[in-house]
Amino acid sequence: MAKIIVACGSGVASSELVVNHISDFFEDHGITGVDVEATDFKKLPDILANYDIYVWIARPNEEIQSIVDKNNITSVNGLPIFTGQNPEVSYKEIIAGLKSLSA
Amino acid sequence: MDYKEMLKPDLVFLNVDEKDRKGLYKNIASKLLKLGYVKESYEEALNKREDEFPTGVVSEHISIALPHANPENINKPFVCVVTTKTPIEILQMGYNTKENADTFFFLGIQHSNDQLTLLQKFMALIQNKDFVDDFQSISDESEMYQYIQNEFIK
Repeated sequence: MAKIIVACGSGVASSELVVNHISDFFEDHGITGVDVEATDFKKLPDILANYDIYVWIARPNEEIQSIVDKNNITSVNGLPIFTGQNPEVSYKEIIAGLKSLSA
Repeated sequence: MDYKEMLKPDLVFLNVDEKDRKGLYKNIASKLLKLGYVKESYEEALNKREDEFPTGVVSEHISIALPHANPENINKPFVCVVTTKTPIEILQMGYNTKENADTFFFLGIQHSNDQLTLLQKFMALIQNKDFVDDFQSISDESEMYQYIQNEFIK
C-alpha cells in the first residue's frame, strides 16, 4: 500500500486539513489503497523514511531534505491544496508519484 | 466547541496603528491577556511560532496572516479579527517569502478539530471576492463582528 505523509508546523491542524482534501480527492477519483496521514514537524524526521510521498506545508529543512533524497521519497508542495488555489498542481504531482511507485 | 462561538464581540480591532509585526503582536497579546483569553507566555510563543513557521497566506484578493501559538498558552478558544492602518511585512506560510498584510486573524486554538473547521472556512472566505470587498469596506467593529458571524453561519 502506498503511503503519504503530510506535515505542517507545530500543534496546528493544517496538515489534517490537507489530509482531508487529499482523501476527498482520492475518493472522488476512485483512487484506493493509499494511506494518507498527518504529522507535525517535530515527529517527521523519525518517521519520514517509512513513506513514499511527502506533502509539505512548512518548507522542508536540510535534515528533512536529506531524508527525502536518501530514501527517494516524492516531495510535493501541499500549499496549493491548503489554500485551495490551483490544488490540481499538487494533485498532479501526487498522482505522478503514485504512478512511479507502481511502475 | 462550535467554531462560530470562537468569534467574540470584544475581539475585533480595526485600523490598529502599528508599524511592524512584533509591535502588532505585542499590542494584540496585551489586549488578549487583559481580557483573559491567553496566558503570560502567549506573546513569546506567538512570535516563536511565527519565526519558525510563518502564517501568512495570500489569495488573489487579499493577503492575510493567521497568527497562533500552541494550545498550552491559551485559556479559552477565540478568533481575534485585526486590521492595521498600514500594511505589515510578514512571511508567507511554507514559502517563507515576504508579503504585506493588513488583515490578521489571531487563532486561539485548544483542540485541533476547531482549528480544522476554522482554517477551512478562512481559506474559502479569502478566495471569495464578495467577502473580501465587504470585509475591507467595514470600519465599525461591532458591524464587523456581525458581518463575520453571518459569513461563518453561511
